[in-house]
Amino acid sequence: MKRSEPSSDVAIRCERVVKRFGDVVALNGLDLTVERGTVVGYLGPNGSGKSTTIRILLDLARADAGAVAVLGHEPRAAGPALRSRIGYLPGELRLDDRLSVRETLRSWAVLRGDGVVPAYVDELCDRLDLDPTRANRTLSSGNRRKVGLVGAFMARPELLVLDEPTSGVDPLVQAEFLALVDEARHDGRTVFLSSHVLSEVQRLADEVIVIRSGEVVATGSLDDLRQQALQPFVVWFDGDPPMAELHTLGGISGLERVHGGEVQGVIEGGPDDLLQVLARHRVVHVLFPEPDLEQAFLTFYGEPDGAATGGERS
Amino acid sequence: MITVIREIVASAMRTVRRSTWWWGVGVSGFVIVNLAFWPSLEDSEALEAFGEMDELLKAFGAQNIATPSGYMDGQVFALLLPLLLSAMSITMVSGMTAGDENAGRLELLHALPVTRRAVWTGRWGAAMIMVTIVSLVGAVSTLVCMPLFSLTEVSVTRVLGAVAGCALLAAFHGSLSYMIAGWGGSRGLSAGVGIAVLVVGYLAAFVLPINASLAGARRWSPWYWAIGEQPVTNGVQPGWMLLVGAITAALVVLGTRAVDHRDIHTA
Repeated sequence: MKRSEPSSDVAIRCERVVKRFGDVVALNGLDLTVERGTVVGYLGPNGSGKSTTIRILLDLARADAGAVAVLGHEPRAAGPALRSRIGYLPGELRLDDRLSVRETLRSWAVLRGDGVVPAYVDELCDRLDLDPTRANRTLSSGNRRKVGLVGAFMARPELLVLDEPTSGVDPLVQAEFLALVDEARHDGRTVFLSSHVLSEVQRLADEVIVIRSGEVVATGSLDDLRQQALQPFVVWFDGDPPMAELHTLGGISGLERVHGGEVQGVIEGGPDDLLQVLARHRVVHVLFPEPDLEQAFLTFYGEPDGAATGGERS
Repeated sequence: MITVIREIVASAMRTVRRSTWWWGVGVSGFVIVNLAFWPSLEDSEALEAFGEMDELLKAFGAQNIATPSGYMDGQVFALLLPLLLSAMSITMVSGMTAGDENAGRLELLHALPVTRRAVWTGRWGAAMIMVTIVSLVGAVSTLVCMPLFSLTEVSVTRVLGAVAGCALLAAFHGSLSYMIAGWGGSRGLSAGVGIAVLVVGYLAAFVLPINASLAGARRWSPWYWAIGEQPVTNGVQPGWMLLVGAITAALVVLGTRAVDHRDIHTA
């Protein structure tokens, strides 16, 4: 792997990164760039290579080919000096059940060195409503996530790499997490966020990168991408629904008459054509439920390589 | 750097403090109970008769069992104490390295600003400290029991040498498990190889030599290198112990280098 030169405006750069596990190709020439000071959502279906990418950024795994630069440095060569500038929350956070929360946080703080201010750790615990006196083994999955969040934020790192940060935590803590990310953004720090919570990504991310089968298939703002994403809908007609007319519309799939005048389906692209049809009929109610991220990005997840892009990437 | 290593060692020790406590209680109890029977056996005709079954007793390192030093060898130092300490060392090292790695507990640690070498050697060091502590518990228990149970004629120096040999044997087997874990072996493989070598080494040191034509097999056994034939009766062999120490150090170096060149496993 070639060394990348330090760059002042790029937090993460991957160029043609390949990673194989035996016969399985986890990353297949991955190219991505994350600008400093931005919050980027990193999205993709299970097994798409998100976690492998993150593990390579943290030097937990080594790429077979390509170049990786994090904060201007190659992760393996830069070693601990680089990781002291990164806060990481793994998707599968495994705490040692034989320790308490306080012991765990204290140990991380010591290993992080002088960058951790104990008062800030206490403040984070208060904000996330985390009791540090509890034993790790007594924590719910949500509380374990809180421990991980405190660990990731405790040193106010330049780059935060967060994998499913609010999985299992309650809404109040989610709100506090959003505030923490906003503070990081305000401080000019970079957040690389893998999440399945659409509202969270929508609320936070300046940019979204979609990965499938180890390659970036789309990038852009979330709104740009949602224009092309799948949108479920439910319509209640006053009387028999115009199924034949609906079937003539392009970009609609899964069209189904549920019962009576109720019809459901999925739109790919904008709802203009559907709304024009609805305007010609008596409609009782229309619902466009917010799709979860998996569903919204099914377009990108499901099409052949390079076929679907918001702002296309190589 | 010293602060980092100290924290890694201390943190790893915190995770096994409870099990170490129970290992200490177990070893101490084992030593006390065995030595406590000496006063009632030392004049026993049955023990004299038993002691004449020399070939059988060799399989357990228990020749001369009717003598105080032979009794201590046979009941404690030639077989069971090294077995216990080695089992502790293997399970502790494989658990703190391969076990924690495969459970995903090392992922966040490796993402912190510490080197892999520091994490892995620190954990190996923590396990070795715990083995040493339990060995010392065994030594103190023995030394306290000796005057209580009419074993004062046994050399204290040889007892301490025997304990050191047992601890060294445990360090060797724990380090073998460490090397397997460093190469990416699972906890089961890491512990399994350690236990297998422990058993094969015992067979080579004690069982195979019963057949005179296989007497040379003992020279290929870590048991023989670390504790000799009967460490309390005959003393340990510092030259052979140095060999065990050198191999142990090599195993640690090989394991640490290997983990530095591979991916860290995730849960």
